[in-house]
Amino acid sequence: MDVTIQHVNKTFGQTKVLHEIDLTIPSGRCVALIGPSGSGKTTLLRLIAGLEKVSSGSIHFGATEVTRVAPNQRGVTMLFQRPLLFPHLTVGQNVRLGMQAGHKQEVEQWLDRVGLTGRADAFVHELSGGEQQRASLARALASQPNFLLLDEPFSSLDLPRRRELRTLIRRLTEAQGVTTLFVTHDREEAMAMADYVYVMEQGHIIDQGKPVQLAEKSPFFGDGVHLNGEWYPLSEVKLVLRPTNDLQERVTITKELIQYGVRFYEVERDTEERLVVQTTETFEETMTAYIVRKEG
Amino acid sequence: MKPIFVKGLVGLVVLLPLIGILPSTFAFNPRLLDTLTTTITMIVAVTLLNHLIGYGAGKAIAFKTGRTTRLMELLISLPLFLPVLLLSFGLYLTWIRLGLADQFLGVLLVLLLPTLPYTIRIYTNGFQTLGEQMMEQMVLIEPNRFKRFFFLTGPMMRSSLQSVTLLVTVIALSQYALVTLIGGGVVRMIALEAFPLYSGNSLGAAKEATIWLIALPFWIYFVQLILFFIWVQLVRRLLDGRYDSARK
Repeated sequence: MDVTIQHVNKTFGQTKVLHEIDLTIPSGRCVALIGPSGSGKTTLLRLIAGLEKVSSGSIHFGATEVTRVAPNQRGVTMLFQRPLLFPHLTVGQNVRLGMQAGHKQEVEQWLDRVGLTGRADAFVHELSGGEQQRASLARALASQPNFLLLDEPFSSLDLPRRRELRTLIRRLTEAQGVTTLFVTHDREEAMAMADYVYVMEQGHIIDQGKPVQLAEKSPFFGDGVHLNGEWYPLSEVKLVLRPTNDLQERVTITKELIQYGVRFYEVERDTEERLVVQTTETFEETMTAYIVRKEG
Repeated sequence: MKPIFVKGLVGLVVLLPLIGILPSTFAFNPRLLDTLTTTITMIVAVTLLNHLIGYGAGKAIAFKTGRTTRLMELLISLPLFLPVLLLSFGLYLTWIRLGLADQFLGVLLVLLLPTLPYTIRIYTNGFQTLGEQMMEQMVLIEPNRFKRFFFLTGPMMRSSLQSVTLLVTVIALSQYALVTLIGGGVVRMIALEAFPLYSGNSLGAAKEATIWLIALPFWIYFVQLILFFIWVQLVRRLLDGRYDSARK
C-alpha cells in the first residue's frame, strides 16, 4: 500500500523540526531519506512509525489515515541502528516473536534467507554484530509488515558487512513486496538501495528524484558516476587507459594529485563536471582515460 | 586490591554480625505464628505496591523530560534526604484523622516511605539500561501490553525486579520505629518481637525471633529465583511453538 504524508509539521517545545513535509512512498518501493545529521529525517521516520505525535498534517497508509493510530496497530516494523534483539531468547525465538503464528520450520526458513542457517538455537551474544543485524532483519520481515522502516541500520557495521546487508535487504523486501523507507546520511547507500530519494535539510525536503536524476543535478550526489545507467560511488571505480569492460565512461585527465602516496587524477566529463578518481596507472594531462568499475 | 581480599572482607562484614545472634538451639514459638503471618502478608503487599508504583514512575523518569517530571522525581526522592521518622510523625497525625493509625493499611502505606524512593531509582536505572529504542522495538513487536510484559519487558528487567523485591523485603523487615509508631503495637511484625526481647535480656528468645529476620529474605530470594527461572522457561517454550494457542 502507498504511504502518503501530507503537510506534516513537528514541533518540540519552541523548536520546529519539520516544515510542511509532503512525500509519497509507492507500494512495494524502497525510498531513501537522506540528509545531514539534525535535518529531521529520523524524526520523520518516527512520526510514520507512530513513535512521535504529528503536530499538524496527516499520514495515510493506503486509504486509511493513521495519524492518530497507535504504533503497534500500524503494521510497521522498524530496524534501528543497533539490532535490539532480546538477549533472554535464542535467535529462533526472537524471529518467532515477530510472527503472529508460525512453525519452527518457518523460523528456520527465515533464518536461511538471511544467511543464518542452523543458528536458531544460538543465543544473541553468540552472534557477531552483522549476524545480529541479519537476525533482526529476519524478525522484522517475518512479521510480514505493510511497511518497513530502516533507521540507519548499517551504521554500526564495517563496509563489507554493510554492502552485504543492504543487498540482502533489497533482495528480501523486493521478494516480499514490502514498502520500505530508510534513513541514511550516506549517499552511497541511498544510491545503491533506493528507487526514489528525498533530500532533507533543516526540516525541509530540499530535493527529490530518482537516484540517477539526483546524481546528475545535485552536488550532494556528485561523488559518483553512472556507468550504463547504474550509479557507482567513486570508491568503486578507477581510471584505466583502455576500457576493460562495458561499464565505462570516457573522460579527459586535467590534473594529477598524489595524496598519502596514492595517485588520483582530476578528470573532466563530457558534461564539464570534474571528478577526482583513484588509479594505479600513470597518465599525462589531456590524455583520454576511461572510468571503469573496480573488479570484485 | 586483590579480588580474594575484597571477597573475604565482604564475607566477613556479612557473616561477623551473624555469629553472635545465631541461636544454638531453635524451637518454634507458636506465639510468633500470627506475627509471621502479618509480616509475610505485609512484605508481599508492600513489595507489590512498590512494583506497581515504581514500574510506572521509573519508566516515566527514565524516558520523559521536562520540569514536571524532574519535580516529581525530586518529591519522590524526598525520603532519601529527610529522616523517614520525621515524615512518619507527620503521617501519624494524618493517619489518626483518617482512621488509619493502628491499622494494617496504615503501616503498609507508611512502609512505602523508606522503600519507594529506592524502588523508583532501581526501575529508572533498569529502564535507562534497556534504552528507549529497545522499549519502542518491544511496542512495535508485541501490541498487547500484558503479553509484552510477560514475554519481553519482565524477563529483561529481571535484575531490577529481583533487586526491588529483595530490597523492599529487607527494609520493611527492619522497620521498628515506623511499625511501632503507626501500628501502635496492634500490627505486629517480626522486628517488634525481636527488639523488646533483646532489650529485655531474653537473649534465647530474641535469637529465635532474629532467625526469622535472616531466614525470610533468604527464603524470598530463593522463591523469586525459582519463579523467574520458571517464567523465562515458560516464555521460551511458548515461543518455541509448543503452546501455539496460548500466544494467539
